[in-house]
Formats: sequence, C-alpha cells, structure tokens
Amino acid sequence: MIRPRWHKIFSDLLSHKGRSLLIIASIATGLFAIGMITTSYVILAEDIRSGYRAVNPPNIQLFTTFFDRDYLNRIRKIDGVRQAEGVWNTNLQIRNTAGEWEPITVKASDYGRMGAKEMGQPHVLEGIWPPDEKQIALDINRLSDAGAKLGDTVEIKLPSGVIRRMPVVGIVRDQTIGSSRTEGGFFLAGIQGYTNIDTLRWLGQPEGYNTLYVRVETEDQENKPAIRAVADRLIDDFDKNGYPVNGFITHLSSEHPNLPYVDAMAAVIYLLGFLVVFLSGFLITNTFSALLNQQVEQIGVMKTVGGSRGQIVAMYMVLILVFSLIALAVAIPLSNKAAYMLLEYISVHINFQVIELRFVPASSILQTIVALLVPQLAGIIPILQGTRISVREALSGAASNQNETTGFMYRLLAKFRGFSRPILISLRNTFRRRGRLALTLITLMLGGATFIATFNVRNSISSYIDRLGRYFLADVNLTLDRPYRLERVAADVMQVQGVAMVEGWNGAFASVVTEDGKAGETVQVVAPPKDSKLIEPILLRGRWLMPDDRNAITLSELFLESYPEIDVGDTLRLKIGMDESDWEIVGLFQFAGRSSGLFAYVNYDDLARETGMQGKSTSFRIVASDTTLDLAGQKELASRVEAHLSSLNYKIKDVGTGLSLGDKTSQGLSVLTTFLLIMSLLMASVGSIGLAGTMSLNVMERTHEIGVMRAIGGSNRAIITIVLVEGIAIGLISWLLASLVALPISKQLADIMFQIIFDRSADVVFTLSGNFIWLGIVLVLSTLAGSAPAFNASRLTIREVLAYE
Amino acid sequence: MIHASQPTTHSRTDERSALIRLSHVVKDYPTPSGPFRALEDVNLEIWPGEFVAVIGKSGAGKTTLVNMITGVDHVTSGEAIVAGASLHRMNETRLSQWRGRNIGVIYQSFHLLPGLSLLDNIMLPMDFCGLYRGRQSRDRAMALLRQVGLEDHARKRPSQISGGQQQRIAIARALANDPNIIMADEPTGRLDSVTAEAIFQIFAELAGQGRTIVMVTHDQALARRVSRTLRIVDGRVGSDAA
Amino acid sequence: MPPERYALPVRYDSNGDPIIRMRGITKTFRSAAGEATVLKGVDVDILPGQFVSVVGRSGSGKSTLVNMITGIDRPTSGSVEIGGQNILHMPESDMAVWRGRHLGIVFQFFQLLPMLTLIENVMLPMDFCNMYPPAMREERALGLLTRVGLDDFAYKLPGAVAGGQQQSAAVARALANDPPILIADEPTGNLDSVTAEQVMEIFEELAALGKTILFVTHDRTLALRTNRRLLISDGELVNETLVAAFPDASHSLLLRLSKGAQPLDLPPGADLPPGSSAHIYLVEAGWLEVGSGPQPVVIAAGDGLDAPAVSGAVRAGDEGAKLLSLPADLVEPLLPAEPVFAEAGRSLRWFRLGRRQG
Repeated sequence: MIRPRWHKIFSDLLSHKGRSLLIIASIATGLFAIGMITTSYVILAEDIRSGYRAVNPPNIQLFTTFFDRDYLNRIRKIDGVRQAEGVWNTNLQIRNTAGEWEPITVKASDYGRMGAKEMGQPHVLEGIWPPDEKQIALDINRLSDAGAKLGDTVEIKLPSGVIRRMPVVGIVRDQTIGSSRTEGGFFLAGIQGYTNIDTLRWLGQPEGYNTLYVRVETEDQENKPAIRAVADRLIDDFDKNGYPVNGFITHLSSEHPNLPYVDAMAAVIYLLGFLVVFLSGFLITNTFSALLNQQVEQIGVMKTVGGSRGQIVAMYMVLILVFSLIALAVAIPLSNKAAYMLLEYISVHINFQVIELRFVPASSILQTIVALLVPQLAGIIPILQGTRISVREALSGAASNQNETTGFMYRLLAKFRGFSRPILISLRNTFRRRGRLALTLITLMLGGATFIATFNVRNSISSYIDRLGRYFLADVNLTLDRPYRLERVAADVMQVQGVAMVEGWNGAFASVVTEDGKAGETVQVVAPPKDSKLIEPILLRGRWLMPDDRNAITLSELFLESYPEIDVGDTLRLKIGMDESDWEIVGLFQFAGRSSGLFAYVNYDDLARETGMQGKSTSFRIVASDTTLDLAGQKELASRVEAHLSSLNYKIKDVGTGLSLGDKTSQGLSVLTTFLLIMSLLMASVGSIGLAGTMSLNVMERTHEIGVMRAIGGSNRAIITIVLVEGIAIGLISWLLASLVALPISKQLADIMFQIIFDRSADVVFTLSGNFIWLGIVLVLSTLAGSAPAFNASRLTIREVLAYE
Repeated sequence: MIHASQPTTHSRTDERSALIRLSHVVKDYPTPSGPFRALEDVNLEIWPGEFVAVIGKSGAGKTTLVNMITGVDHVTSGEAIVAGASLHRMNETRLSQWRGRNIGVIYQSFHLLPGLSLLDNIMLPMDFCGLYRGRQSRDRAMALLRQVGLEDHARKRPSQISGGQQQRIAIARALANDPNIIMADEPTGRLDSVTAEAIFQIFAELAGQGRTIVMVTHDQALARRVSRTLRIVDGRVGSDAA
Repeated sequence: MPPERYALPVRYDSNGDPIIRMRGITKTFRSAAGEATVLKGVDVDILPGQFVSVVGRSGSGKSTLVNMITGIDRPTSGSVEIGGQNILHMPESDMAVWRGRHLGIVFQFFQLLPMLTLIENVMLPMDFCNMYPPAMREERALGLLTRVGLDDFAYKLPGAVAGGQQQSAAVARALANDPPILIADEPTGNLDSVTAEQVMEIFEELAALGKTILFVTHDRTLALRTNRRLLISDGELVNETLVAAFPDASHSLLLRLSKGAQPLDLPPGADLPPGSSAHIYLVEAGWLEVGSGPQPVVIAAGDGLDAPAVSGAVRAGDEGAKLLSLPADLVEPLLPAEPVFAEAGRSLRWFRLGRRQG
C-alpha cells in the first residue's frame, strides 16, 4: 500500500505536465552533455591509441639521402629491430580540379610485400591496396583538393616537367600523416599519394629509399628510452656506413600524431561540459522554486495536519529523485547517440579510425552520480525556502510576494520617465524576481560569453598564424629539384613580369649533438641570405642574425622544452650531414610550437659552408612588385614563374604561394574552434531553455495582473508586447554581461588553445564580430523563448483569470 | 450516523483542568504603518466536552484567535496552553506533530489536497503522525468515510464532489488521528443554507458524543445552538452568557 | 426602522434608450459535482445617468450579474448590450480595448499593478486606449489622483500606501479614460469607515455629474445612497418597487412577494376595481387620488411620510397608474403596527383597502 504522501508526489509529477517536462529537460541537458563528452572521450582516447597501434606504425623514422635494398636487409639485423622498411618520400606536383599544379607528397615503398604486417598500414576506404606499378592510391584527407575519385586518372608532373598519368586505384586513410613532424604536421600536410617502389624510375626518381621506418620489439613499443636506444644504434650504423642522417624521430606505437590536439579538446570540452551541468542546476533551482510557490497552500495544509518541515522536505526531495531518474533514462541513450555522431565527425577531422562504437559504462555511471547529486543540490535551496513558510501565511494566500521588495531597482527604473507604462511594466517585471533573474542571466551570460570568446580565440589564432607568416613573407616560394646557381636563377626569374626581387635561401636537416655525443632531435635549419627582407621574426630573447655574424644561430622556442637550460650565448653543436659544427646562440624566437618541430635560422653563407652549397640553392623566395597581392594574385604569379622556368628547362619541385601557408593552418585548426562553438551553443541552449522557463513561470504567476490589464483596455497586442519586451530585456542584459565576461573567458580559452598548439600563452586579439553575432542570436532566442508564454498570456481570457463564484 | 471512536489514551487531560487556556494573550502584526494589535489581553478557558462558538465580524480577530489555539501562529505575549502543551514554547517541528495528534482543523475553504483521492486526504494526517500505520490507517480512513456517508466516493478527487461533500471529507480528515479538539474556522461560510445545516448537524452529533469543539463563525443563528458563545470585538473576547 | 435617507425612485422617462440592456440572462455553472444555475433569466435596463446598487446575499448571483456587464464572464444564454453594442460576440482583444474606453471598473480584488506607481497605474489605461495624447497623460492622471485626495502619494508604489488609498487610486484609474459607465463591486469592502465614506462621496459626485454608476454591495446602508436598487435573491431579480417599499424585508420573502405580485394597470382617472382586503396594493408608477365617496375605504397607507388615513374612493391620476397587488398575509409582518391614514389628494405608495373604524 502506497502512503498518501507518495501519492501526492506522483500527482504533482503528473499534474503540471509542462513544468515537469521543463525540469526533466533541464536535468537531462546536463546529463546529456556529461554523457556525450565522457563517452566520446573514452572511446576516442582508447581508439586513437589502439587504432594507431593496429596500423603497425613505425617507432623510428630516419631521414637520409639515399640507401638501397642491400643496406635495408643489413639494417634488419640490428639488435632491437623487429621490422624495417624503406620509403622513398618526395614532393611532386599534381593537377587539381582548377587546372593548377599543387604539391603532392608521394610515398613509394614495398607495399604488399612487407610480410605479415604492412608498416603503417593505411585503412582502405575504396578500391585496392597496394597500388601496383604505375598506379597510385590517394589519401582521403586532402582528396578534395585534388578533385580526384576512384578510377580517375590524375596527372603528375615531374621536376623535369614530364607529366605522368596515373590511375587512382585506391582511396585510403593513412593515420601516420604528420608523424614525421616535418612539413608542419597533419594540418599543413598536402595531398598524399602512395605508389609502388617499381614506379620510381618512371617518376624520375632514383630507385631506392630515403627514409627508414623501423618497428621495435613488442615489449619495447611503449618504451621511449628503449626505442631511443635502438635509434641510436641505427644512427651509429648509418654513420659508420656513410649515410648522412638528416633527422630522425621516435614514437610510441600508440602515439597517434594528432594526440596533442585530442588532449587539448578534451580539456576544454570537459570544462565546458561541467559548466553545462552547473548551469542546468540553475534551471532546476528556478523551476523548483516556482513549483514550490504554487504549492504554498498545500504545504500549509500539510503542516496543519501534522506534517513536520522535515517530512515535507523529504517528500519534495523524493520528487526531485523521480525527475532525475526519468531524465537519466532519457539522457543515457540520447547522449550515446550524440557521442557516436560526434566521434564520426572527429575521426574524420583528426584522421583516426573508430574501432567500434560501444557502450561506455563509465559514462553511464558518471551520469548516474550527477543525476543523483546535482538536482538534489540545486533543489534543496528552494525546497528549504518554500517549506519555511508559516501556516498562517500559507493558508491566507499572501505568500507569493516574498521576493518582491521595493528596492533601489525600482527607484532606478523610476528614472526611466520617457517610456510608456507598458514598457515600464516589462522593464520592471524583469527585476521582480531577482533570484530567478540572476540564475537566468548567469546561464545565458555564460553561453554568450563562451560564444563570443570562441570568436576571439579564433581571431587570435588566425592573427597569430598571420604573424607566423612573417617568417615566410615571400609571395612565391620556389623549390627546385636540385641546386642551381643563385645568380642564374635570380636573373631568369626576374624576367617574369611582376617580380620585384628574388632571394635564394638554403636549408638543411640537422640533429643536435648532445653532451654525450649522441644524436639529438632533428632540427630544420633555414638559412636566408644576409639582410633578407623576407623575415620578421618574433624575438623572445637575444637578437636576430646580423650580416657580420659567423656561425650564429637563432633557435625556436621549442628548444626550451627539450633543453630548458639553453640560453643566449651558449654554444650549440649540430650534426649536418656527416659533419658536426658549433654554433653560437644569439637569440630565441617564437615560432609555431610543437606541430612543426625544432627550427633554427642561420646565415646563408655559414650553412653553405657546411653543406658545400656556396652560391647555390634549391629554395628561392620571390617578391612581387605589387605588394598587395592576395592569394589569387600570388597563385597567378606563381604559375607564370613556373611556366617561365619550365620553358627554360629548370627541374621544378614545387612553386607555392606565401599566403597559402596561413590559409592551410587556419583551416586545420578550425576543427578545434568548431568544438568551442558547439559547446558554447550547447550552453546557449541551456540558457534559452532557462529563459523560456523563466518567462513561462513569470507569466503563470502573473495571470491575475494580465486579467487586470485586460479589464482596463489591454489588447492582445499590448499583452504580447509586454511579455516579449520582458524577455528581450533579459536577453539584452545578458548580452551586456556576456560581453564583459567574455573578456576573461577569451583569455582563458585562448591560453589553453595556444598552449597546446603553439606552446605559449596567448596574445588575445579581440574582435567585435562575435559580440554582434551573439547580439543577433540572443535577440532571436529571447524572442522565441518569450513567444510561447506571450501567446499563452494573450490567450488568457479575463473570464478564466478574474471570474469567481 | 456518526459514532465516536473510543477515547484514546494519548494526552487526555484531567477533567478538572481546562483543555484550552489562553492567559493575557496579546497578538501584534507588523504593518507598513506600525504594529496592528489583533488580540488584546485575551483570557479564556475551554473545558473538555464543550461546544463553543466564537462570534465576531470579519476583521475582529476570530481567525487570529484560532491560530493562537492551534499553534499556527505564536502569541506576542501571554500564554497559550492547549491539551497540556505550552504552545508558546514549542518549535515548528514539535508544533506540527503536536497539532497533528491533538487538533483537527476544519477550514472555510476546505483545503483538501487536490491531487489526492478523498481516501488519501483522510489518511494523510495518519501518515504524518504515525499513530496509525499501513493497513490500519486505511481501514480507519474507510470507516471515517462511511461515517460521513461518502464511502462510494473514496477514489474520487476533491474537484469531483460538491462543496458540502468536501467539507465532510475535511471533517473526516480532522477526525483521523482522533484528536482532543476540533477547531472549525467558518466551516459553513462557503456553503448554501441547506448544506450548511447538514454540516452543522455533523458537528452537533460530534458534540453530543463528548468531543470538544470550537467553532468560529459570523453567523448569529448558529451561535444560538451551541453550549457556549464567546464574542470577539476588535480583538477583545467577552462571554455572551451574561 | 426609520431609514436615514429615503430616496424616491427616479421618475425616468422612456425617451432615452437604456445604456445597459440585459435580456434573459441565465448562467449555469457546471462542475464535476453537478450543475448550479446562478442566474435564472434576469432582465435589466439601466438608463444613462442612473446610480444603481445591486444588492444580494453571498451566493445570490449579484457579482455574477455584474460580471456579465464587464465581460469578465459570459451568460449561458441571454444578451447584453451596452451603448447599443452587443458585447457578447466581441473577440477578447477587441473587448478589452472597448472595455478600457467605455467601462471604468473598481473591484475589490482588482489590484493596482504592483510595479507601477499610483500615477503610472492611472496612466496605464490611457496608454492602452489612446484616447489622450501622450503628453497630456501625466497631467491628467495627477488631476484624477488629486480629485481622490492622493496627490501626495502619486509617485509612490502601491505597496507603500494603505489599502484604502489603493482603492481610491483604483477609482482614479477607473476614471482615466473618462468612461461613461462606472462599475464597482464592493468598492468599500476593505476600507475603514472614514475612507469608505470618502469613496462613496466620490461616487455621489460622479452620479451627480451624470455618469452611469453601478455598484454591488451586501451593505444595505450603502445601497440606500443610490437612487435605484436592484435586489437579487437566489439568481432572480426582485421587483424594484417591492425593494424600495420594504427595505428591511428578508430577501427570500421579497423574492416570494416578487413572484406572487400581480400587476394592475389603471388608465388615467379609472377607479380602482373592487378588491378584497386580502390584498395590499403598491404603486409602481403614476399616482392615485383618494377621493371621498362610498367606495372602499383606505384604512392603512404609507408613503414614508406619516399621514393619516382617509376613507374614500381611490382612482388613478391624470397619467394613469401601475399597481402591484400582493397577498396581504405575506406582507402583513412588514407593515407598521400603527395604521396610517392617507389624506385626500395625497399620492400613495401603498395602501390597503378596508373599513374605517369609528
């Protein structure tokens, strides 16, 4: 037999369906957010690692100039090497849909002949693997740039100018893209193509390998020092046999290249997810407070017939529990579904493969804990307040005006003389229930602030990327297949119309030589000519290179992570090719953080001496006479330069534009800002639900006043306007607050993003676009949130409200 | 016919001492324009078994007086000793429990819980006070329903029955914990004359069975049918007898 | 028994059309507990400028009747015309605006809006109905508040003033659009006697200025200050002449009399037909002469002015007369113990035929 007090609770649940749904929706939104985030993160964290392991990725990548199969076979015998493969890695050009030539990174290896397990096995999406001789498989990530699909024949241009036509026999997902940490990582990576070793000669390449992939023994695959030890042995062997090591990199088998991004997103999203829970708590408080307001008479009656406050409080806490359980039942399946959708989106953009969409118990457990805790905490205050009322007040019907004191707000608003009374009603009504208003404002404000902050963060990121572009100020970047004399190239390029200046740059891969003589990290060394105009560095310490310097070097900030003691004035020993050399550190500059590896700048002559490339270069920077060229203009110039040089029989590797670098980086990072946007919109939805709830509660409590207005001449339009204006007023106030709070939130979010991507704190560059867009959104949201209550208010007939018998 | 249940053993006072005693009770209410004195030096005693009417115009202080006796409100000064308990010394929780066991209150506006069936409404006081539990409380509630003649309506909601019937349910509820005192605050105020008469009959029968009943009303005619009348004018209580 | 002031019914001429016309008003409430018919076919005509009170016990239907006029409620059947306008078919929104312009409403539960000052409350109807240009509204509102003695409180919020002052402000608000009709339900119910008097005086002033005023009350003394009283008992309207004639009678008795009354029309100069002393006659309209002669003798009469009884014939005056004939045994308890004799030539309110003694 169920006790009467539980009958009452159940009848409360069912009597006011709209209000019950609102409470359930509030709780469910928070649970949904937590569940979606937890499930996606758990699956993501597991699958990105185990999925990467499953493709049998290389633990060690060694970059050299050339080695052949014989040497490869000898390498395979080195202690600790479980599997070794050779890859020829080169950049050619491919014609895209617009007819322009774009760089394509072509990897050629013994695909299909690597034994039981292919190293770095790509996931075959369409077609076949491996591609056979003179066939090509394309990676899906930049496929759209190439505009090719399975079965198409693409045109590949060799440095010699010869164009080869290759059928696309497979579309794959290669999770190892970006693992070499050269060429800017995954987000900057260009079109990727894969072909057979036998095709190399046909493509004008030497038939051999320039990159070594090594997999260590299974028990060492997650052991960095062990992998390092094997790498050292390999480098020694290369040295002994006269193969220059231009660089190397080590990875754990679970270390997916984009793992750092995942961690960045996770941090932010968890933070925001809990914020959503927190905000939904406010909604619950508000709605329960109104529920209890309407129960005042019943509470009085219960106290009269012997109910103590404790008993009554317990009853309502049980009501919350029932709501929570219903919300849990709704949220768990929904959040799982949403998590799966989210994972599919992320997996495409972060380049990993979800192994299996599965149920994550931790997520449901967490949701249950939150469901049992948060609503209870949120509801306890209104329940305590509501049950505090004395029997006398409860039964005399005087109760509802508790929060409505005549305070300074009224006096403040009384100054608004210019408004008509209906507008005054709206404005003052806004402030009548200050607790409720505060809670509503907080939720809307935080959603808005995060939204605005997202725009600021995105703007800061692109501003920073623009600044990075100052390291690459040329309009056109020309890369030739072999070194050419500087003067000759300059003279030839200057013949192209629109070219103002040509600089020949040099570059090389080096490795740091540590104190114990071992090979350290790979450094990309760039050598601009003295007095280069094409670089505007962001200095952290010390100074930039001077023309008179000898063996001076400037280092990117990432050096500090690996070598924290390093400072201006120290000597750095580098191994370039086979030789070691000492360099004096004159400055440290801010570069692009972790994604692009270690960078250093030296003077052209100094590097040329080490590499034997005096007066010659493969890399040329071209400046246009028109200093205001946009991307299209740069592309146009680039194609003319290329055409001209081709006609002069230059072997061209790549002709790229300066602006495209920034373009690509921004695109790549957009997935992160998209996340922020999704979270802020989620928070904004919580805020809107809150506003809708508040508005309908307000209208429900004021039906009598609406009746009075009807009696003195209030038409439908007047009443709808009064309600809508109140909603919009709340929206506008929240917008003002959001704009203020967005300032610190932007800094916080930007710092997190910048730390992860660029390894530094953020320089926030604010933009007003977020503010204005949010203004538009909040006006729409508050109008929508208020429209149902406004409509209901206008449908109240004076009969329903004022008639009595 | 209504028959009283056997007197229970809880808190019956000595027949000689007053069941309700108010001594020098003063009640002030704060208002924007200064404290308003609702009760002025009220002294009264009500003995077990009396059927007392408290008469006065609206605003005279009748409801305030009721609230002093039921412990719903606290005296500003003076003493209220009801069924052996000094109300002015009890906190809210104890007051609620005490009230549930000792006083059954019936209001002008019935005040039944709209979401509960009639049977549940009657069982509610038993649920809160724990004197009768489980099956016993349900049986007792059904018996009370029968006594007020509404046993066929046990499952209905208050909105589905008439005002007079609701008041009967309220009376049954007031009897649920077999209290010492029945307080009725304008019990016939919302009823037409015929129904009012029927309700009054129920009270008369309860009085006939020895229950102590205090009924507040503005209806002079009713006042003539009780054993004792107290008049309240502008917060002062005087006896009508003289 | 002597009333403080006793107003004669206004002799209204039927030239003007009624400003409020209600026909066959029936109102039945249906609830899960059954049906209750609160108004049973009421007809009322109110002419412009009348000062009318609606009296009845709690539950009689008086507030419901007035709700029909304000549109706060709708009859189950019947028609309501105000100023010739059928208000029952107006859509809610139009009705609201129409009401704001034509009716000033003062109800007991009819609070001022708590978030507006008194003067803003008075201005609100003007904002809704647009009958006064915005620049004028504050001044006009202040004037209205001054009229009800509240100019010092104009800029205060309702919560800061006493109940009586709020009620007076509500009266000022009701006058905001200068409506032709004022309707009030227990306007002094919550007020102390001093303030109640103030409010009644305002009503009397307005009545004197020609406004049509209708108010509901259960207080007989207030009702006597109006010049027309409508009494409702158990959903039916009691004959007004009876109400005026017997102000102290119980409502249920009046209703019984009302139902038992027979109308009797006398053309000008006509004699009263022979009747028995079992009837009491009430004069509804017109007047009678008491002449001398062998015809029925009046032994008891009254018009509120003590007058000696005369014997003689009773005939209608020049304009004819409408009489109501009532069973005497019912009316007997209401009559004064001492018989009063009417003089010749006097106009009578009621009379009974009988023999003079001595």
